[in-house]
Amino acid sequence: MSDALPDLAAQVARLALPLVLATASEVVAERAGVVNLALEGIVLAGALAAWMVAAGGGAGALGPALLAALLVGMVIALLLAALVVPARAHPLVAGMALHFACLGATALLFARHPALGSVTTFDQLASPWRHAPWIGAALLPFGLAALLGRTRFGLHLRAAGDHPAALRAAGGHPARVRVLALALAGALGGLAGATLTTVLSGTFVDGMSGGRGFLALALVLFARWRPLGALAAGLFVALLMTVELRLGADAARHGQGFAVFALRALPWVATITALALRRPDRSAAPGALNEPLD
Amino acid sequence: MRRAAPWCVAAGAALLALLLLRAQGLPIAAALRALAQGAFGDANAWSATLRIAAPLLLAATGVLLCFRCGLWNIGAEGQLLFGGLAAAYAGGATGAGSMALLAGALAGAAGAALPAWLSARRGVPEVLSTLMLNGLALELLRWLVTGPLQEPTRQFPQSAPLPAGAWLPQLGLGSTGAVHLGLPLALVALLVVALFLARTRAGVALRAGATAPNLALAAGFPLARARILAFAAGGALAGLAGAVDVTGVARVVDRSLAQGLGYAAVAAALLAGLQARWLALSVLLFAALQSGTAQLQWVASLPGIDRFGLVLQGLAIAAVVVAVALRRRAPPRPGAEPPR
Repeated sequence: MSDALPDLAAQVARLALPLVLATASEVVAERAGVVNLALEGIVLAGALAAWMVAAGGGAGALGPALLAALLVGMVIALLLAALVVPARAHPLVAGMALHFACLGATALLFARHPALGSVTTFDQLASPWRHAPWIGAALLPFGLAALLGRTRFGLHLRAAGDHPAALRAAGGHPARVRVLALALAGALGGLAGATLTTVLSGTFVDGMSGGRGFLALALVLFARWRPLGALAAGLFVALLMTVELRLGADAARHGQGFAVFALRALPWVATITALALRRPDRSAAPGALNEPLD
Repeated sequence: MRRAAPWCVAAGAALLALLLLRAQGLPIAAALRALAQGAFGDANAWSATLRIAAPLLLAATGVLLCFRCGLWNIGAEGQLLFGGLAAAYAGGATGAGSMALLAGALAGAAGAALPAWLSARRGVPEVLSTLMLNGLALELLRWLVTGPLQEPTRQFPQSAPLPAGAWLPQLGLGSTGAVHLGLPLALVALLVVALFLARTRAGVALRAGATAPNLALAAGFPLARARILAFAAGGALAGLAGAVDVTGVARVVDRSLAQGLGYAAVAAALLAGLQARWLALSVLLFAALQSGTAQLQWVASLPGIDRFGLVLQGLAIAAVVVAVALRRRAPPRPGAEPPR
């Protein structure tokens, strides 16, 4: 038992890492008034980018890998921003388009370079840098909370999502702020993907984001559009998934098909149930979510 | 300038796609030729394209119906899976194709009614609930083909083959496979949905309710109930797509059911700009891309090139999105900046 608890905590933390980053990314995008439906594709593209840069490169390639994932995520989010802000496309439509493009492009690139080799993960490092992803992900929500709540840019970002007309009347630039917010969200989404390959697994598998980006879209509601809420929601769902994995392994060993199915379906069912039982609360949601700027 | 912009965007997307092909070491002219050959080269190619087009058109019609009513149903993939599974079960149990199709449509409708109800009564965004149900449906498929629906010998992760009585009538085209009844069925569905949206009181009220719910409510239209019904009808069409695919082509259910067909339906509806008159063309284009890229893979022996279609799907929607946005003039409003 004395060993089991830290072991459990470690597994929860591992599953929470990408979820917290992805949810934080979506919090930033939605607080600025744009739902980023391309998040799943961004996570996947970030995972692939980090893997392609880090594969076979040893420990020294980890930094460039994170940077590559960050930049790829940012570029995709800026494409979304270009479709949504100046071209006034509906964010859900534009996000869907980019999601498809990411899905196809990652599968295509992966099929062309299937055997790049494995990545030296952060866990395998000997230096104190091995703790960097964990410390970074734990501090990030606090940093974002400070950014949103205490800075002028954060004020403008929230205004762009709540009441862009008021921001404009006050001399701000809602369009510019939304583009910047999406760039930040894209960077975080790309990093969420990078953790899949450089922290958790050390290799890339086609479609390895496995719906985490979509799950993050729902977690934003439980996080009540707050960065610290993203930390809590990510940890809670990771706990659920840990229980599922452990029970699932047991059930599979005993050949219980339905139990395996029930456990694998648990995140989806639990999320729908929780969404249904949640008291609908419009006050927490950004006021001008998905509304185009004038 | 304003008029030329959409075409520039479309040309830009096409150029980007071609450059991507070139970067993969494929001569562009040969690639395009292989693509066209695989999609429309001969009767067999046409047959393969139309076999993909039939369920795609059914599901895309359902998506179009929902989107036009302001319902963000991106759960066609899940509804298609529910429909295919139900059709396989009902077809196997009764041996009748009509029962298989009916079961498929009902299962799809049920899979859509839940998010519709949750959205109307509990304020759950349907984007999220339909996405979650897509994940659930995939897990359900994986379980059923290794559990209750598995073939009797328990050797393979697939259902028992459907009895011949449950097969969809074939219309005949090409030798490798044939076009089945699903295609005329889909065209009729598209016509009915187009007429419903354009010509009936309920259709007009539903469309108005998408942008101005108060207007529809003030006119005494039962908007909430109509939206649930429209959502369920869209799901029924997606479920029917799954049923048609199972009973018309594979005649067995394994893990390859759907495989993104429901997402492609969303893409096709968006590419058509949610206009019913463009939908058949847009579906044909995506079906051709899918059957064409399969040929491309065979000719060029480039692994993964079949995924190229997905990239094109995304680029095509993005191009249409921009084109539509650029052509739409912002309505004049008091205090708004004059257009530049």
